[in-house]
Amino acid sequence: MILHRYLRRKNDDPEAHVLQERLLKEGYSTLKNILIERVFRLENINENDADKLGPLLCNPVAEQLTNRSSFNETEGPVFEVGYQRAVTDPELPSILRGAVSLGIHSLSWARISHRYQFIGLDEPSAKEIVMHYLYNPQVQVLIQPGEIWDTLRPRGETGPVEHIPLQGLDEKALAELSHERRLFLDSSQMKSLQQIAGRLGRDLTDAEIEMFAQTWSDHCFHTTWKSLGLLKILQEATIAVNHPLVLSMFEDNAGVMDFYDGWALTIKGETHNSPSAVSPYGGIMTKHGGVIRDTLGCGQGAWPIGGSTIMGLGDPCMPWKDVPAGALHPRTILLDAIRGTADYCNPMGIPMMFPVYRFHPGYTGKCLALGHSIGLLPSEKAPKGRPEPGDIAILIGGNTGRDGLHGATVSSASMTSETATVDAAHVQIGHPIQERKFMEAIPVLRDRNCLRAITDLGAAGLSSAAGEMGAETGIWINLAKIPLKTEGMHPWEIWISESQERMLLCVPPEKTCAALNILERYEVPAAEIGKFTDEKRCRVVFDPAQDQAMLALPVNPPMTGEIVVDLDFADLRKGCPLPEIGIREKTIEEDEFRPDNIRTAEEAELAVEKLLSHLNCCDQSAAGFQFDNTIQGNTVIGPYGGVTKRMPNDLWIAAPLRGKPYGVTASVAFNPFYGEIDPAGLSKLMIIEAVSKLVGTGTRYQDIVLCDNFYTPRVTPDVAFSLSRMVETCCNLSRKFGTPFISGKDSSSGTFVNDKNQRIDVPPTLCVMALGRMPDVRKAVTKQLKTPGNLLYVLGPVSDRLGGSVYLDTLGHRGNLLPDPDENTLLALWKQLPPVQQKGAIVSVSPIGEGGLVRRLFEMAMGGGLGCSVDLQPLINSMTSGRPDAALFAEAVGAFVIEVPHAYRKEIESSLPVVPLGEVTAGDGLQITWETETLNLNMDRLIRIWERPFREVAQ
Amino acid sequence: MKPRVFILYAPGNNCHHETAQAFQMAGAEPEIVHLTADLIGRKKRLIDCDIVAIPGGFSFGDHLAAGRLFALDLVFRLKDMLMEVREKHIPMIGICNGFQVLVNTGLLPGTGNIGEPASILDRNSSALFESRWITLSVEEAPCLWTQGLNGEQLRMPVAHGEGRLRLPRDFNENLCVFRYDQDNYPDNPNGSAMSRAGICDPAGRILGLMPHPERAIYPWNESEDGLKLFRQGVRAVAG
Repeated sequence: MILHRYLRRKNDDPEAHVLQERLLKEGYSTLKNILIERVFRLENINENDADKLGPLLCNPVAEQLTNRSSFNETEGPVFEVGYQRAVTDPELPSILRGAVSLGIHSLSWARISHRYQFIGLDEPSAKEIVMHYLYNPQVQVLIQPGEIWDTLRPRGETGPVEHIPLQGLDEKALAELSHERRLFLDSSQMKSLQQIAGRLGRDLTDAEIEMFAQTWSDHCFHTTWKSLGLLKILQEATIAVNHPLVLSMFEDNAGVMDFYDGWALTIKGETHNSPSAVSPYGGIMTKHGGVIRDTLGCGQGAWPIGGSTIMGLGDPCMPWKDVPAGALHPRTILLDAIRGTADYCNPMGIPMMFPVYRFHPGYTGKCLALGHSIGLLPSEKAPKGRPEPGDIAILIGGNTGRDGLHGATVSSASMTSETATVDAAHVQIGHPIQERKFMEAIPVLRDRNCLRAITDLGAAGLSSAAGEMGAETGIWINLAKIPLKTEGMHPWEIWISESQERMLLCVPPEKTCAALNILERYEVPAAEIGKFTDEKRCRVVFDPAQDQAMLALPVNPPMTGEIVVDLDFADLRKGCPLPEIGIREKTIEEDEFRPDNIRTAEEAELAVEKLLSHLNCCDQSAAGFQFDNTIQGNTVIGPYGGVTKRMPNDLWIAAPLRGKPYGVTASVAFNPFYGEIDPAGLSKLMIIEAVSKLVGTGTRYQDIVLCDNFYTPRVTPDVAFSLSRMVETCCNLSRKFGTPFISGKDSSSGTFVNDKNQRIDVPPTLCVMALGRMPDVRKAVTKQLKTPGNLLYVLGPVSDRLGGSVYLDTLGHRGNLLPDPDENTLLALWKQLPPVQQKGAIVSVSPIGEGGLVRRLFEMAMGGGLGCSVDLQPLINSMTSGRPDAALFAEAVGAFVIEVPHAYRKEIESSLPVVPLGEVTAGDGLQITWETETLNLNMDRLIRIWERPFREVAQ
Repeated sequence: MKPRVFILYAPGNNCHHETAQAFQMAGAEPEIVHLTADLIGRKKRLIDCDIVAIPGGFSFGDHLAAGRLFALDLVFRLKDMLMEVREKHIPMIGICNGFQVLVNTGLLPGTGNIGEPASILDRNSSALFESRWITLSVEEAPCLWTQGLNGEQLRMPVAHGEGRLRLPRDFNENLCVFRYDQDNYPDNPNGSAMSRAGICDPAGRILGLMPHPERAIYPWNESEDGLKLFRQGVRAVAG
């Protein structure tokens, strides 16, 4: 029996109002009003009890709850949108709990949907709005009027373990099998499977085959990278650097560096590109949830202290008709991405370090969706413990459902327009509160020595986590012990389900009771699902009849019930054949492309305005202010600052050891344009940019470690060459600077192909995050200008190359030569800077990057509520081309703009590689002169130009 | 003896650690008390402390409405404890989500019965989550948490999606403790009428505010002003 209740706002409805404003802007000019109603469907409750739910469902001050819809259907078309039955509403546990608080115990399930009525629109227009803005077919359904549901509970079915015969199948039959089961395994991998089955002398089970497919997917096994030998050289570079602060690199869920006072910092970046491209809201939530669990699962459990969201997207202003079939509109992705980040990260209570949105047409098919997480844990808990035979495997967090089946294999395959219908199940809706609950409990478990080891469940779910954790000892798991979201699931589905917000703990037997008590206190669902054994095998059964306590079972429990998996770990790890990847070298044109020069101040003014209104340079705080950046109370420098509170800080500083001034400093570098010109140059500039941001603020370069995230198209000989050049450059520079990469991730899935054979490749992409430490945050040099009369300089290697610059993009060009700062010059500069900063000779600083010098001057001046007066001539003279456009706009990564008090003038000019620019002024405009030209830029006007473009597409 | 502060925790609360830190710096002895295990489990009593603090966050995911599930538990499962707290004149503070809880219980504005909310902290008028630094003016009000702070301007962050305070018509304006110092967006980040950011009950013991004083307590935060509020609260109960 299902009852309905309808909730309406009594007077104003901010949600409807904002939607209406947006639709009016989109051109639905006849739209008079939008009404929104929430529908509660309640199962197993009588009318009388349902009426008692009032205090749970409705606040009578602003809302009214009725038994029937309050819409007058004749006034305009109505559409109702709810989650598919396979998807559980995040609110369900809260509704059930609230009902119990009100004394109602019978309620067994609830669902919430939204009804929209459009007054003043015809049915087709209303439907178009729903399809474009309000409905995601990946997870939602349009509920038809009068539709009756027999139950709200997700239905499921279970079945026996299937055995798949492989012997005697020819290549074609193997390929068909791979396609039918959507394994995404190529013919050599399928043959290898066949050999393994032959060696075992039996058919593989469905779960075993799925497990091989997951384990061998590019996403999990990094086949592309391994075959090119890239993972190895990156790790070798870090080993060669032998950095004294590195406690763990590449082996754990995150890299770990030493901090102060017995504490350590963890760093991890993770992409979630494929799901985010088809279902951005859920995909982005999953991205954050996953990378945060990497922090929680690092060492013996770390506490997350900062996060990021880094998005690469197509043009959000693209006409709808140009959106490739099978892809979402970039603006839809942008809006959902912002909402997803807010709805996941804010409840998690982890401060946002960097909200970064960059635009490039290559991301139109498959966006970049990257998130970072950094964490804090006691240094002594940084090494992972080794599971021991007899330890108990405890699964914590949310229930297991049919979510994300084939997530790992799909993210390794090309996105096709089919993906949207065939693999719908690989997208899910995040449940941050579930994750926040165990985030609270994990440090408690850790500090009471309950955790021998811990890892998160991500791609390939339990099969991957159990494999990772149990490989050294062996593991035995009974899948029947796992709480499910649905009525039934096939054992193989349980084994590889990617339901989010779950983690696997390895708990010593004598600590099991204590661990379960702590988990209960923190209201974290927990189930003992198996044991660590001593026979180095992966053994999985489905045995509902097994009722002995895990503790009472022998170290190697018997294979009772149905046998789901029985494999040697060695086969899983070593059996995967690597593809042969050819490499085709590409040469870079040496003849530099240059646009027409800027001659007059008027031309320069126009160019500056176009630059500051470029989506990659303009104010993005319309998104950033939706993400909590002060939570945890330790933020020193957040994403925005200055007197206007909107100056982007470009780096993040926090003091996470309460009451102590020890600083964590962090920055990211991500540029969508450089890689298109020169992948090696991209790597170089990203490393230098990320490090420069921290060095500028006073972090010693010896106190910095790095995290890499590569994103490249599906591998071809050209892509293989780009990728190899990117990674080799990272290795060389890492060794040269002594700055190690300690964590990273690669995705080789940046290719979109649809059924019209449109192919879109992402530009070769590398995002570098730098993580550092400083002994006293009060000494950090900040960005905003401080005092009129102080001197301004460019410090460090100048460049007059414009290739890959935002400036060239505003002119519709990419260029062909990137800035190429000299590494020895930089290293010398980084060594020289700290003592100068310590004595206060540099009072403000901003590293030059995207947008070049003029953007720095604008932001620093805006931040200080001041202006500056700059003579470009010395800078122009220092450049071989002698061109003002290069002086204003070249992205001389590695160089800084600095502000210096007069007292230090001589010292700075004689000891550091500086070019004088001019001085800080009390007025709030920028005055820039060269030759006979004088460019006067009005600050208010610049701010108006700068703040508008992103706001218009992001709200 | 240091005053004892119970900081109530429900799943989804995420500001309890820094709230505990702020009370500790202000000279109190904070303890994080679990709503379910300790209070509903009847292992602890609310009256065994000198101050009850309900911290910020997303208790129970802010499902259905911010603070509603937490309030439902207080009203329908722990009403006896709330009555005792009222009888014993134990001060309370609700910050952000805690304020939303207090409003949902009816403890604020506090002119009606427990369990009958007369006000709402509604969706921000921007319909967005707003995370910003703002400036608060401390109003002349009979509130024990702000004695001696009247007329001061305090800088601290806000971070909420539901902070637009809608009060009954007969609300006594003297009970408005904090206002955003400007009424325009985003200085008033949520569109609250008359820039109201925090109110107290008629007895001046129960304070609710949307901004986060516990995030402005160190010299390296953008401001240390938040600490003043905790110091005054602790001083008031220490006598």
